[in-house]
Amino acid sequence: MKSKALRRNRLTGYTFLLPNILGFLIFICFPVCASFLISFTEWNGFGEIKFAGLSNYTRLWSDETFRISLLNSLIMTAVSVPATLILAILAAVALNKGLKGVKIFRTAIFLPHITATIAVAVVWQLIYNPTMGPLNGFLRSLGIDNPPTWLASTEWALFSVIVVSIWHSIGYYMVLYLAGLQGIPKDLYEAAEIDGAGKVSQFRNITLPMLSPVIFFTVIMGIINSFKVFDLVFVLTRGGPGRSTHMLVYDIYETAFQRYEYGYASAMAYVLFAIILVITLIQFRGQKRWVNYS
Amino acid sequence: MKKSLKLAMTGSLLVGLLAGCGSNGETAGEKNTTSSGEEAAPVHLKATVLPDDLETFKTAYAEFSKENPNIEVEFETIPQKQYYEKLRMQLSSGNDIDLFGGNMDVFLDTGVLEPLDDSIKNAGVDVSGYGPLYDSLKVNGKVYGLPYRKSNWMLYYNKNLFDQAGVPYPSDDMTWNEFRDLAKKMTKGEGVDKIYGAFLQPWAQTWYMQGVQTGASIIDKDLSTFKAGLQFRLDMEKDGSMMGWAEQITTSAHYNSAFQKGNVAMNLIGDWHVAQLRQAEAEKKINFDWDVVPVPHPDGVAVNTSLATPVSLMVNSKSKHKEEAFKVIEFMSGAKGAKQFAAKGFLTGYMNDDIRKTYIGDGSLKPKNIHYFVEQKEYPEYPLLPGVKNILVQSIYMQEGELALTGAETVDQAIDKIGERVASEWAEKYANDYKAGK
Repeated sequence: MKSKALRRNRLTGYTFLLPNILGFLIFICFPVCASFLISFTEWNGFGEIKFAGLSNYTRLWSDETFRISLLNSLIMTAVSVPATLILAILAAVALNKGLKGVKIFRTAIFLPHITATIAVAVVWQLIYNPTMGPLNGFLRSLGIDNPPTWLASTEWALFSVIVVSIWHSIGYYMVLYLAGLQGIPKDLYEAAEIDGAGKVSQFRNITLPMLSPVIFFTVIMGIINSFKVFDLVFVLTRGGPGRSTHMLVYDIYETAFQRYEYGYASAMAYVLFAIILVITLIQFRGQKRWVNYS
Repeated sequence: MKKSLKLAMTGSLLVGLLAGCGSNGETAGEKNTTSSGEEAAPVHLKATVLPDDLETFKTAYAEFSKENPNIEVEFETIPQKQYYEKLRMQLSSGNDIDLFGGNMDVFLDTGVLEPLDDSIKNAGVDVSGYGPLYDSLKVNGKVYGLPYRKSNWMLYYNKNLFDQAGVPYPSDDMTWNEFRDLAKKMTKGEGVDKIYGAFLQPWAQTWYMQGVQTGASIIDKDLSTFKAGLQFRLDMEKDGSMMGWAEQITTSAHYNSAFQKGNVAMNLIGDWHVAQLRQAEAEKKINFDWDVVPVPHPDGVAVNTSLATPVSLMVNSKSKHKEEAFKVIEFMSGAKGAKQFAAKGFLTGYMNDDIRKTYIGDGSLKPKNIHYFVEQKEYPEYPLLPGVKNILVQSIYMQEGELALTGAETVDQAIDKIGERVASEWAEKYANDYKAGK
């Protein structure tokens, strides 16, 4: 009797899940598996698929554009993730208090995240405009005669893209941190205050440890998102000038859809997958030391 | 409901039988809802063409169907920016496109291009109208498409600005150095009111053009001829007579809006700009007078030597109606189709006196000296081989040229680097399998 009801329950459950699982199998699982197989072949989208063994992977070693893209992606991640998260925590802590107009500030910081990337990029292109842009206008008024040309300069382009990406994603992480902050019991702070702890020490010894699960989550998501960056680069610089802002996903896009080397592009995608996987595994191992789930 | 279904089914069966390609008539009969009549059922073809050419194809098709009432063609298009990406995708997924237009080189590696040599021979097509273009389009000695139009480079100038400055109009025999001097002379003012002597679109073509004019090719082993053009562009920027590369790319500057704004004296761009300016005139967006002269040339190169890119029509080798598809191509890229395209202001692959006259018109439309277009000696803008456009023109030449123009590399370094990258990123893959021309 009981097992029959259980079975029927299960059936209902799976039926409800079916649309989602089907979608996952067809649109995610199948392409992911297929591209893994394609990564060992040479294929331009037409005709026969030639088995190429590991040659696509060995070719990556001598591919200069891939090396540049990988390096750019690593720099981007190393700079933008810590900067974004630190600024987001500070913003969250500042806006967690019931100050006047706090909602306006929260909205203002969150707004970039929900704005279309194209619009964001166009506005930043104007800001960065070397001759007419407000940024260089400001720098010139400070007495700097030859301000950088930002997106048009090989030295500054990557930095400029990173700044836009930080600005674009702070809001999202801030909201996560705000939610985390709401969950910290007030009595912890009260007790600390009675013990004579200052604001800084409260932040270090209560806020940060209590927030650590959220921080752990945001670090992982931040790194993944940063490696995945594509649209911003695509609209802001198209990887230029030269290849100074070429990123991994942009390289994959170019290889697959402009050079029509689907096998090689799939190999790149799997290298990217491996990098993210390894970094994430390392973090899961390391979390025991600093993430506090109590 | 039932009746029309039956009709459609018999129609599709008929088509399948008559076309003689098995019983699988599902695709051919799909749109064939009109009754087939007493004569042979029409063959239905699908054609995908560039958005700018769609209208003209439809006009020309009206004439074509008078001669070939049994061939129905349904023209479709894809937005310009994704044209090649999407079309390749559709062709690879077995979409039943019978013929399509575009730059032939993009499809050479796919195996979907049907060689047309036999059809051309059997139909007795007069290929002399294509001039030297016919042979330069051959790949490994075979013809894979016929050019229905082409894009050639020209120098446009704003007559009003020259009048105001009291400077004589650009001559039809100008070296690049003379062009540079003239641009300097025409440059005036500062900031928003600045009048620029010239505008060179931030494409690699606008600098590597000078090398190609001397007969060099961008896949050559020795690329030293291309140094002069890159240095030239740098010098022009230093003169201040044109907008710098950095500013152009950060403001997404565009030759069309730049020239229409009225503060650019000379604009180096392709023949399609004629149509853009005529349209702007019709919409009363511009109020200055303009004309064209041949592009400047390097010392020792013949006057009016220009670069051209043919746009072809090709047959899908998987089409069930190759014969009919070839008929469409023969018509569209031949004398009759060319006349329609010429009348709309397109430069056509096929040329004869009649088409030349149609293209030049009765003089009521600008530019006054449009005849320069049909008198050009032309080199292909880039060799029509797979990967050249995407890998060389749009990535390697673009990226390394950019480094020189933003000061991150010297001209010599950039050209050396281009040579290295052409060898490792393109030649290794394609140079042995594909040869342009006869």
